[in-house]
Amino acid sequence: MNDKNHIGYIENGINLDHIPHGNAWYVMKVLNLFNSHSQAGIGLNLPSKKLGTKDLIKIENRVLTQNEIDAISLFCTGSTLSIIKEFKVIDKFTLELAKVVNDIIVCPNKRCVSHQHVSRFNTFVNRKDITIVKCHYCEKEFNIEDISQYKF
Amino acid sequence: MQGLISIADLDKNKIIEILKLSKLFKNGLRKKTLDGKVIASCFFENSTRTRLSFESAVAHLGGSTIGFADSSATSLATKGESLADTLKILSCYADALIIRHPLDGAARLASEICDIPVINAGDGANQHPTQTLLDLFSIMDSQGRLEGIKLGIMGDLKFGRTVHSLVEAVKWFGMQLYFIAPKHLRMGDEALFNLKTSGIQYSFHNSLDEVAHELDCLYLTRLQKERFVDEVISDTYKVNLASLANVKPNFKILHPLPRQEELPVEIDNTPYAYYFEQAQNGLYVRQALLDILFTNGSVD
Repeated sequence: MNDKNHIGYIENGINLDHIPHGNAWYVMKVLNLFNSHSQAGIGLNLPSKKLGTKDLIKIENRVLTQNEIDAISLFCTGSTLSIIKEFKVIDKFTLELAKVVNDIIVCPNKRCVSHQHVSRFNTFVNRKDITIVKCHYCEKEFNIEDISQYKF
Repeated sequence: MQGLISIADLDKNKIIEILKLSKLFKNGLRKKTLDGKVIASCFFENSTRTRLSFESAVAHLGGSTIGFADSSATSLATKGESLADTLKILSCYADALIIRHPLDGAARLASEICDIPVINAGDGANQHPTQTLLDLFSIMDSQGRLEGIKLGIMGDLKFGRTVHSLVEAVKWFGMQLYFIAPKHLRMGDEALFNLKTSGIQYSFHNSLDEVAHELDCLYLTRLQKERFVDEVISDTYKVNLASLANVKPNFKILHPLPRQEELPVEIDNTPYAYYFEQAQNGLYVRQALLDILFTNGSVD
């Protein structure tokens, strides 16, 4: 992001657009942006024709792993992820809710065996249209807002 | 080969197959399905009934067991070996693994790490599928059927592991459920929603006296005093002789044991006490499970 007056120009990195209003915070936590050396631009409460209000995150020199993409899809279903190389968008796709999220979410159940191994969560949308994650090991279900720790 | 980790892994037909075979074992069937087989019985926490009934079942089927009754003498505890490594090593020495572990999900993890069948004998607060099978068998054996049973479930319905698994399984059998618990320990919304979508009828009650005369079976759970706000309330969820005055002749009381104050010894001498036979049924159900596992190559 060599233009310091904008958050918009990425030389190499990612652009995550149309994040549902308020969810940028969760994405920042999932991707550990607070402890990262990558430059990042965060846009909150931006006007959006599609959503009314949206959030936006741009990160310089960051490549997302599939596990990271799966994890942020919990908070960004329908968002647009653009991969940028030398100021050009080389790939762009809409995030769908991943069916399985591996090794990123720390199970909120302190008695879960996944703390001694790797985590795995199955996802679904319940009858109240709320995204739920279910631990593959302890079989407990959580609202995504209940997840407070991620593995970095 | 597949073992058994969660009651949800079994469909109605498979449950019925296990229960029918359990009845044959109870009636005296003798088989040597495990002749020459070594079964690892690894109890990372102690459990008298479950461990001994499993080991007895293995012996009745002609097999032998290796293992431990608690993890204090293992390399896991004394040398800091990881659980994953411990499980991998265990699977080298046996044809199947029976595991009980205090952590939720440990049996599922074991089934992914070990290349032998794994049977869950209880993983923390999560699952104890053979307890659920023996509970179902006890209802069937004491009543002659499962369909249409009027089943009271009393005590801690919010946190009780055995209750949740039993409720998950009764959806197959069209039972009518009577939940008897204080408001703050009632069954969770999701479990109730699942019952409703399965067409299971249920109702809520504040005391056994309200419904005792309607019930075929009463499933009692252990009272954990810290979860009851005061002693008066916990007294409401105990069985006593007076509360059994108007029950049906076929009425039976089930309890996963060990018991506390909710099931006083004065009930033991009534014709309604079935819980010791229920514990004995654990042997037959576990024989049936092991027999199917080693005859068919999988449980599910």
